[in-house]
Amino acid sequence: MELHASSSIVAYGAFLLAGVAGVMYLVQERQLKTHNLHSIFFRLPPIRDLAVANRRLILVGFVLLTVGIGCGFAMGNLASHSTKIAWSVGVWLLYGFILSAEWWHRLSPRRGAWLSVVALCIVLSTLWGIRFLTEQAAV
Amino acid sequence: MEIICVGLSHHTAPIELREKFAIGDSALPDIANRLAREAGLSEAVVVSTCNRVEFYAAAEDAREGVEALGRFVAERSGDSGDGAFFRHTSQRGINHLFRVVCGLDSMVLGETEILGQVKKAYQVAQQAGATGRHLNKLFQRAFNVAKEVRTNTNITRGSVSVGSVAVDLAERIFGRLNDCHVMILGAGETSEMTAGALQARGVKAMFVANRSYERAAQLAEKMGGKALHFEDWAGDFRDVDILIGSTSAPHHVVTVEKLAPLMRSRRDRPLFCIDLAVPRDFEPAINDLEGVYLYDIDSLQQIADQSMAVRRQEITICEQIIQRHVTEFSEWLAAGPGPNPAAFRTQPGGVKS
Repeated sequence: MELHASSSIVAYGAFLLAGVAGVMYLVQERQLKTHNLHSIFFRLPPIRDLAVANRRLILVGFVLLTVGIGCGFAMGNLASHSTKIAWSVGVWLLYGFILSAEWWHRLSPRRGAWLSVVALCIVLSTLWGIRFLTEQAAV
Repeated sequence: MEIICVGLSHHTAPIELREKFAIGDSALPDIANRLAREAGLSEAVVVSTCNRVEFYAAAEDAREGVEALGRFVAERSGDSGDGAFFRHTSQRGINHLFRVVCGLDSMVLGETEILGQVKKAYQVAQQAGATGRHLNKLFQRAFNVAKEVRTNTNITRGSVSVGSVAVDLAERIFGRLNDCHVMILGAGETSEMTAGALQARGVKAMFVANRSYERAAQLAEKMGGKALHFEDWAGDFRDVDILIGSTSAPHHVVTVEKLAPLMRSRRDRPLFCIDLAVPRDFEPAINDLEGVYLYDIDSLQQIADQSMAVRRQEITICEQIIQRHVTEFSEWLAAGPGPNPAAFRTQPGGVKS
């Protein structure tokens, strides 16, 4: 139970940080391309480090989420958590798609950053709805 | 006690005059010591850099102190300076030192090298025994003011020359440059200077390609790099992170057509292109390629100008900080003599009273 919860929480933390690194990458990339450097540019980490951080965080998050979901399945009692399980598997597929695109289709760091931001927005926008549905089911 | 400052700088004197009054490092302790013993003066610090020669002193009477300083300088150099020397006393003298250490009086506004130079001059004078409680307090306060100004304003932000902007951008893209490879296309003076600045930041390797192989070999040897025949530059491109162009070719040397296939072979690695040539060596459209960041001489100059404009906007805030410290220091000075920690330390036995 502990491993399931902790690995899932850390996995979502990694996805959150990957999204933040993605935003910083896109901001910096835009400023570098347009030669229009604002004060925020000088406060951001180097763009190459951001690309590496973005990719590694997605990988770490994906591995941890895999462990979390695996532990969840091993715990049984799947019927009462069907919504949550479906959502978690959806998130797993989403990030799995990004990783496979990076691996097989040599996704550029820019597209990787965009996808991590979009994925994070999807996860955050559905999170509250899923929590609501789970709580309703529990009541 | 009064603080006085007599000196000349790039604002008041041409280089011919400045070099006449310049003081070498080895002579500084002796001159500071002799100045501090002059009649009418009690403490002295001498700052001598390529842009300024300034004498700071503490004196009981400002007028006498200024005269003593003027006499000393004229006797030492055999020249009175023909009115190139400024003379600041009291608050203006304190204000001048604070402005100098903050880089507000420098040729390049906001540069930080002067702070190190003044610190060194103060240490030399202190070790020579030429400073006392007033100048010790003044210079310590000056260094604190410089720190506060640098922390709380943007006076040192950004780079203000084309070469330093290029190096700065490279660091914004790659972080540490010690695993970066640089390629120079065209062994010109400007590219050599820029590559030299990058090398000073520790780039890993340097390639030089030039129409004349001999010139490429010369520069490569000078920079510890590898010379290439100009036609072969693409062969070693795979490992290159920073590409500098400064050929005299009348057409674009690096085009989208050439670069796009090369970029595909270097997964995820950004490429920073610095175009220092006129006519330009890089086709502007390569900036649209994924991972390629192209800066020509105008865009680098524009960033340098922007940084300078930001620094200029900060002058008012810096002056306000400086004025607050000048007022506080003047109040301390006017309050008169208190316990002298320096004198206390040197007393035999050091018995606390």
